[in-house]
Amino acid sequence: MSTRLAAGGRLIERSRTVRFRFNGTELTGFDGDTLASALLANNKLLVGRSFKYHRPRGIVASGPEEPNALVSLGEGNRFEPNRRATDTELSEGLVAVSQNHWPSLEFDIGSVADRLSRFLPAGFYYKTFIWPRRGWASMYEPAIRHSAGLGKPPRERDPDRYEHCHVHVDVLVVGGGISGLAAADRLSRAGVRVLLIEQSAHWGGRSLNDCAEFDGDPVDEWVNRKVDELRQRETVRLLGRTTGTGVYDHGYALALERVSEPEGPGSGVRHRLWRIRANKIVLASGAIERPICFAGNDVPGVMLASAVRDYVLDFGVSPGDRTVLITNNDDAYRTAFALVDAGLTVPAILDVRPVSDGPAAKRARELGIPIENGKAIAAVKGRSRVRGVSICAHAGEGAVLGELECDCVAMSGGWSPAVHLWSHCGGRLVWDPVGVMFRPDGNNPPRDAAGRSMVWPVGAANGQLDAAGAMEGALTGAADVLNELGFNEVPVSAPHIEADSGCPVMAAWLVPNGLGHSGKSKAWVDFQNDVKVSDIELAVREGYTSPEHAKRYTTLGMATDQGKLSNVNGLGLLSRALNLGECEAGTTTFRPPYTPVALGAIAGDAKGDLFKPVRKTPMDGWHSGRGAIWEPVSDWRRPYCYLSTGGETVSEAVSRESLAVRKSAGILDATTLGKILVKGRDAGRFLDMLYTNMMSNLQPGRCRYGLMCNENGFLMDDGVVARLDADTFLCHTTTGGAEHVHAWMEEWLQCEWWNWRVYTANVTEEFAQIAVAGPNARRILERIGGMEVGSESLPFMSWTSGNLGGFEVRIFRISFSGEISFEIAVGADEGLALWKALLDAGEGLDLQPYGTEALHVLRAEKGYVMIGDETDGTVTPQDLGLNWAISRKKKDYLGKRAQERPHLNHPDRWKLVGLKTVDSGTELPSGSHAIDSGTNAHGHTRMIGRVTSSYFSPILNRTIALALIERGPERMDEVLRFSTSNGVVEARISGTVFYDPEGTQLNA
Amino acid sequence: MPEIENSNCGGGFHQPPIRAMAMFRGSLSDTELTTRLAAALDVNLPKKLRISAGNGVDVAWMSPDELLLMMDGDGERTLNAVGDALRGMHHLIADVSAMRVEFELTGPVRDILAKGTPADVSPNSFKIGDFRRSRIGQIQAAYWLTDDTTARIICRRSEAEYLSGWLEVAVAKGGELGFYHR
Repeated sequence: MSTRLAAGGRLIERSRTVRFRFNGTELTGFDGDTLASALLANNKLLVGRSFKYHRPRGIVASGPEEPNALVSLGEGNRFEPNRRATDTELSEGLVAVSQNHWPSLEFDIGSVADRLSRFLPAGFYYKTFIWPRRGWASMYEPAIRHSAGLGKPPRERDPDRYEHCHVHVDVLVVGGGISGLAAADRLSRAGVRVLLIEQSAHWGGRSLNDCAEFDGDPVDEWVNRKVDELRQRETVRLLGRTTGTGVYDHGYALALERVSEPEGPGSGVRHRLWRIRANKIVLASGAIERPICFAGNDVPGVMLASAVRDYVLDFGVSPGDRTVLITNNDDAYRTAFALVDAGLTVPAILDVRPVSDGPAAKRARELGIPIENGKAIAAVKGRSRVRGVSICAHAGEGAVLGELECDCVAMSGGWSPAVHLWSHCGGRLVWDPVGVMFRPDGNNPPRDAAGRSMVWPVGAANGQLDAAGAMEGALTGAADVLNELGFNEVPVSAPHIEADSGCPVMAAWLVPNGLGHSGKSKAWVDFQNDVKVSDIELAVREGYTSPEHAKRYTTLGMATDQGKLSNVNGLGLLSRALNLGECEAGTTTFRPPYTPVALGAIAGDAKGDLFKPVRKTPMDGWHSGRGAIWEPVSDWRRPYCYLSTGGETVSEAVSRESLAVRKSAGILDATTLGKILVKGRDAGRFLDMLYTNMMSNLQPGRCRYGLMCNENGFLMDDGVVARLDADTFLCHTTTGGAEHVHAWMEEWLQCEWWNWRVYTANVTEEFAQIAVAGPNARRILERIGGMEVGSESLPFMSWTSGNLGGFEVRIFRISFSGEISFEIAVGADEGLALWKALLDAGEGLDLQPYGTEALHVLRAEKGYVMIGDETDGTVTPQDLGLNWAISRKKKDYLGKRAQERPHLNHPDRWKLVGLKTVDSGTELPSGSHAIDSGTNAHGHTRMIGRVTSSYFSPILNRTIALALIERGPERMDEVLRFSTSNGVVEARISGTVFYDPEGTQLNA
Repeated sequence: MPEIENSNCGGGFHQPPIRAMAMFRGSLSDTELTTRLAAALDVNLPKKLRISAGNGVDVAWMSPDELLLMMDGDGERTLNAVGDALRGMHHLIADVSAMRVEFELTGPVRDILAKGTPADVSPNSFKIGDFRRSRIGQIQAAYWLTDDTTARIICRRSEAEYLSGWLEVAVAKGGELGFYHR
């Protein structure tokens, strides 16, 4: 039985009852309880089933290291799986359910896996389910996934609010125990800006349960005083309920604050992810007790010794009436004292060490607690809870010497410094044979950009497990950090703490030492991932001898607890199986996060409308109100088409819009096109290098279409360049290319041609740009009035500026549709007004707004290429038949030399042609491959090209396509076969210009 | 776009009256150029990472060869004055009045900014008159303090709606940070 004691419990408020539900049963606890302590108080020891074998599992620990007590919390949209009961604060109305069982926790059909466990050792997935080959994906994996697993994912959208927060401090101190408090105190007294974080809701760490007195006063007085002092210091910030989850390069650290616990979030922030940039990090993260590997160590009721005394002292909860203690160290004796003080029984302390005669053993004898030296547990009796243990000699193979009745076993295999954050960013560990632990290697710390130590481990995290040593280490560590930071030290006096003197810990990886195979098959190393001692030995037998391999083979330490209890035992056992020295096999890699972080916290505010910024043009709202279907174009959204009311389909809308441009007029929001000013004495020379054609001889007032290649000769961007004056050009880029082209220009100017007199300015957002295209376009502009837009004054490929009906504009007579077309640039703040004015002027002239799809249809009808459709980073202008836009006169331009390489001039290159399907109604999907007879060198069907663009052309009433085809222009009128998902489609090669090849419309 | 006067946690934001803006590019290490420019603008040019306020014009340091001018009233006159003063000197000046949107943020502004910007906004490192080009949330933004509880932010026009939505969440009650402002 576990139950609530009549008295005691440092953290609970007995006058305030808290109701909660576990697996549908209404239970009560007290304010200050964790879910785990409240469950124990209600005799709910069994809290889940194990991952693989579905064995009954109980609470083992009292903090974030807990491997077993994972529950699902909450309901509906606040459902959250895999929460540790041990660090979940109890709150009114909390709802928790246990995991990994069916139909119920007490009776679980999956536990048949336990009976079959000898057939399900480590690695069995890889061996057993190989045949038939296809069976893995279709049968085995789904079945295994169903039976092996922990919590279920939530099904509804998380309603809670999360946020990030970036802070910069001199020193981050992780851990609010005595070491962290002492270090923060010393640092902040000297004027250092300190952020001190503590994962639990309480300050002082283990000291409150494990220490005697500081300066003759109870420890909590010292802790409370320090916390008060720190809170009042302007340079210090303290955050409770905040877990340091990761340390990264350059002193960057992440910490998760559970802002709304325990009350629940309401409308406030639930979790806050602190993104901390610290000059130095002091790691005072304490230590974690290790379990002992003996047969039956996973039966509910077997707990860490520290957890047993935590439940007694912190929460006034008795984990059992009779607790047998098994230990290899003196620290665990504290548990026996706490239990006896609370009036409970400790039938025996099984101390695997041959001798224990320190002060702890002396006191135990005084209290009348029997100490059995050199003894161990041969087996645990009971299946879903401890009923007793059989005792054996630790040195032997487990021959039973006697039995003890008990309902709880407290185990302690020694302590491991919590070195995770030390290791995240490269801190090495050393094996300490005296302390029987891995501790931070001071000679190989995580280093910052300057190669200096970035993290200082102090206190128990540095292997100083006694309070006096931890305090001294924390103050020395703080002094070192002050020195590093160049601060003058302010003297502080350390409190007087009685030094611990006791018997040293003794390594005991397997108990008893000679335990046989069947015992090893019931001796758990990793509770959460169901890894036993026998699995580690199997891994070694099969050759997985490196810790990283053994870990992956057995899955040791790969569960949500990241092996906080199991890693060091696993490494000890691995070294033992390899006949190496203590833990000589080395360690695995610790990776962030220290404890799991909710996805919501990682997303922060990036959800709903803020999920991703969408760039919007000044006319966005207008489009939105007119039935725009959106297309994302780089970070912008642009209307794909506008659906008329009355059930118009998307393809009908696209046809209507493109026909309007051909027959009357269309208006397009072209704001997103990149606009880059290039100015200076050398601007022309600069653009001559950037574009394949000549720009320096462009006359002011004129425009020229240009191609831009990268240094490999491949087409990168295109657009119209307008010369504004002798010194100034305005380069239009593609929508997606604006930032990149601007960066490209700056790179060349800053790195290569730094002495050329050129400045650039990306003014994309300064202007709204509106294209008015079609036979009626000129009339519309004339109706608005104010500017000469006739063929004489504004011929094709020229531009002018002026006042168009009250708007200060530039008008570019350029076209991407093959119709007479004006692109009008106006200040972005006036974009919407001009847009509306143009629409008004188009009244009665069938002026229709058109979207990007109609734009594509129109340009494809004219054979104009689109960057990203006809190009993919491996296509040259020559491939696209754009030789006319490549200057032969220029000595150089970016990409020229690359284009002279033989491969780029090979006659077999795929070149741009038009395609007309033999059946004019059949669609030829973009991306379809042209297939030739025969096979290539690999025995595959020979491909001789692919479709780059494909549309239905309403004006031609047929499908048209552009394609890159091997020796395409030489194959004019040849019929090729294309492989599509609907079978083979035949298409005839044609020229690329399908509509108005003479350009009469354009030049009208 | 929404504006919030006071979210109950003391934070609020609004769009101040629109100002004319101009981008200036030129070598700020050329003392003749900077002397002429400062005279034309009637302002002390800002040092690196700073913004200086002059007679109806704020000048922000954008990079070693770029300044942003924010002008009350008619920006064209200032543009012309700069053009005249620097005639014959290599530079670029462009009217970018419509390119960016300006917000004014009030309340515990360091805490609010800290929720979105990775730059150091602690009082030690970010003082009145400091100017930062960084990120807020997922977008580019620049910001500076006009006093201890007032900040100005500028962002691209196309992303103003995102920033306004972001600010709305950042200042909402229940997200009080109490880190830089206690």
